Amino acid sequence: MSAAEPLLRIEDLGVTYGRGKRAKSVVRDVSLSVSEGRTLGVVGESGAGKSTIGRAVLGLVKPSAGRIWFDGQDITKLSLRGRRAIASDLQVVFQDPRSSLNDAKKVGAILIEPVIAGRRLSRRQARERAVELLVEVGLTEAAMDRLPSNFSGGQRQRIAIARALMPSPKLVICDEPVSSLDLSVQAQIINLFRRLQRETGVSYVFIAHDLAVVRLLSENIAVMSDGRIVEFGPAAEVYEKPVHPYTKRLLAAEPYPDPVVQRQRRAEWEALSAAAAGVSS
Amino acid sequence: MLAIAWLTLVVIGCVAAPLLAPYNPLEQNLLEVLKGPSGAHWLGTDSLGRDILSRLMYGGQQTLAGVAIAIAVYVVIGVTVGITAGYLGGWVDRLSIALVNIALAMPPLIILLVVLSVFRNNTLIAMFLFGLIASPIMVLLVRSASSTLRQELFVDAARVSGLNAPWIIAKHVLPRLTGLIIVQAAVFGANAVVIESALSFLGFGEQPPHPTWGNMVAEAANNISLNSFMLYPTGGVIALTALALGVIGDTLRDRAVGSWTGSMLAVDVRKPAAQPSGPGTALLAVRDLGAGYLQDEGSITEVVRDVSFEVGRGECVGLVGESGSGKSTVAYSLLGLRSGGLRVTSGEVLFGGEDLLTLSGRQLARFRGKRIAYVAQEPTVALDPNFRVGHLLGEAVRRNSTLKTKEEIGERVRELLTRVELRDTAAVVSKFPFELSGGMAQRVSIAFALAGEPELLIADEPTTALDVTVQAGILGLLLKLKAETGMAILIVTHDWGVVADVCDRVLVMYKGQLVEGAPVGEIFHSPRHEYTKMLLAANPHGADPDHDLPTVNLPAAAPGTVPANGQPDSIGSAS
Repeated sequence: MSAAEPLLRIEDLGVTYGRGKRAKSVVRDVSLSVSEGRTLGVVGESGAGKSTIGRAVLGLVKPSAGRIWFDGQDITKLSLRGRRAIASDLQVVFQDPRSSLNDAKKVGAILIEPVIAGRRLSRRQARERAVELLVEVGLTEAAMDRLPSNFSGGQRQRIAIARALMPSPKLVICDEPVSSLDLSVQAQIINLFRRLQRETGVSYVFIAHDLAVVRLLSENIAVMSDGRIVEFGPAAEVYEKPVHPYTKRLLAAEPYPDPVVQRQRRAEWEALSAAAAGVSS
Repeated sequence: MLAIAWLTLVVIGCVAAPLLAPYNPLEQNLLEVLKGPSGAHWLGTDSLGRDILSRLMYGGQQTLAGVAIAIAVYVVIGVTVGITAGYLGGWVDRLSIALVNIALAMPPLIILLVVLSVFRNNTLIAMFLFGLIASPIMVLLVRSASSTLRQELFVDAARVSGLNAPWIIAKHVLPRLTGLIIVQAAVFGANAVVIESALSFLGFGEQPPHPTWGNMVAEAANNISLNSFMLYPTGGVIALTALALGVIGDTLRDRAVGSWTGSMLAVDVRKPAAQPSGPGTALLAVRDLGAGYLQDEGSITEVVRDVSFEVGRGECVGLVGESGSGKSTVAYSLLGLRSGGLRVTSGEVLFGGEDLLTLSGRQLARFRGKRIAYVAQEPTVALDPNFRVGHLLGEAVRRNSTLKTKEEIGERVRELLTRVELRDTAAVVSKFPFELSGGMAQRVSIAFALAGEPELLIADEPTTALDVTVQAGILGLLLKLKAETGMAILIVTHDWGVVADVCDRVLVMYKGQLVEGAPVGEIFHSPRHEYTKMLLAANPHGADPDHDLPTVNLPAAAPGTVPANGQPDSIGSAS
């Protein structure tokens, strides 16, 4: 792998759900890349196709077009065995920490079992690492022997993050990981993601509907609408000087916590959406 | 299909036996005994030369009557007791369950035999009893289904709009249960066919020479060495009828699976005594409100304490806090919603000078929908999926206005939909709630709330489940409606952006208490309470990407108490 080669490269990705007449194209002509130790933000509304990109990288949906390279390897059509081989380098944190952790298993087992199954670590090593990571994400060793149901939403998300980091992955797909959390917890988890990246050099694909959140974590942001990337650029530029009308509208729609600024934003949003297609519903 | 055709055939054959049967069932022909099927006797003859087909048709009358009685008893008792117990809960529920458990512990067949020895050979009474003995199973099923339904947001929405319990049961709960009831009745019917036949096989019920399916099997069994064919038509009819009912039950069940979806809303308010108090000037005045959730052992865990605030006419007030802060509990307490063990423990809620907490359910119903309306976070869940939008809105209009004719109501429904900026109203009224997008559904539920021209709209996180562009539209609509109608709005939210967008004044809740209340211009620039400052700072909007976000980190106080600062006396009053 040459130094210039990014960790993840997506080329002309297309994903179609259904067949024949019912076929619906959810992602079209998407090309993106993520370098080591960096974060790519993907922003859009529900149905824009942003989560589908993550799922295609993870092998959860089959691309209908395009190629995906990860760590110098073409993973577009990987066999099950090939998937298993890269599983420890490619991890995921989902949006809903309630359904993403099995309530019937103790936290220790949730963290340890995947890495033992992959034969990367012995049980003792795995346990040490699990405790280390729990402390890292702000929990204690005592959590190992408790069930996920004993934890709050924010704590469960920390456990899910610890699980993703167990095999020391190179890339973590974060699919709306803070969207269901309270403001104060959201801030803590965002800070946690940032700190872990500084310390371990992990890369993220950070998917969210909220530009303000994505901006805090990403070098580059891709704005998606209707399966396509409508705007791409450095985070600050996309957030402060959006070019595409959709990005402008998205930004104007995010209510700003200041009544004076918000009044301008609302006027701007109403003008933009009137210009776009009249009042949307 | 085949099963239904067979059942229809059997029922017609038996009911119309006097017209259709080729022979008198008792007519003997000793020249033609124990014959197989022939042109004259399609199913052959028995040991006295009687036509088996005719005897089957007449004999079935008894069996079908018995089965029908058993099913009727089973369904009527099961559904009535089940719904009452499940919907009302409390002691009614406990009593019903105790009775059900006793009934389940009794051996049904022995009871039947005892009864039959008293009421000699009256299988109809026996089948009545069989339905009664089996009904606890139906009670349990209906009860659990309806207690789940009771938690559905659309039931709460119906309550908020002022509907009473029998109405809600008939219009909202029962339709959701029909699938379950039909399935259970069919499966039970299959059982009943077999039991009825077994009883008459054992010699109970109608006595020979009068035919029943059971005693015909008995006769066939006696003559099995002379003519084995006799057993097939009789046994076959019983088996096929039972099978047909079973198949119908199974098919319906397969179709019904997936259409019952549960959701949870755990709220309830029942009011102990409250002291009367003088009328205030504000539209809504909440004084020293305390509320908590009833625990299993009977104690109440208080989650809201000493909450006092006012909402003036035409004012939009935001109630802000994180999950667990008690903000939703406050909203539910104001609405007097009943479910999940919520109890108001102290204080008063004055609406137009009248304390809502002292009102009976019926009196409260006059307020809900007409003067206080409610919009929930999940619009699709709050609208009953069984009905089209037009019907749902029509129901709300009929209840909340003097309009009577279909045309007037239809006109008003279209007007309401236009007010919430839905353009193709003709298309919207003919849709089911689940066919609407999230934003459209929320607009419909706002139209629903507007039907009674309320003075106060309580909106509980009305845009949290929506995309930001859709949210901007809904919030814009609320602003417009407030300006047009002078309606006051109490909006529960965790989003400072929403507060800045629509609110005139904001109340901040933390750990069950109000920590700060201020006009919206003040709170963002000069928050007084530490918690408010921290919560504002934790907002990612406008944060510096080069630094970590400030997090909420209050010095640990005694559990459940809020570090005091600010001036609690002036927290909630209307500006």
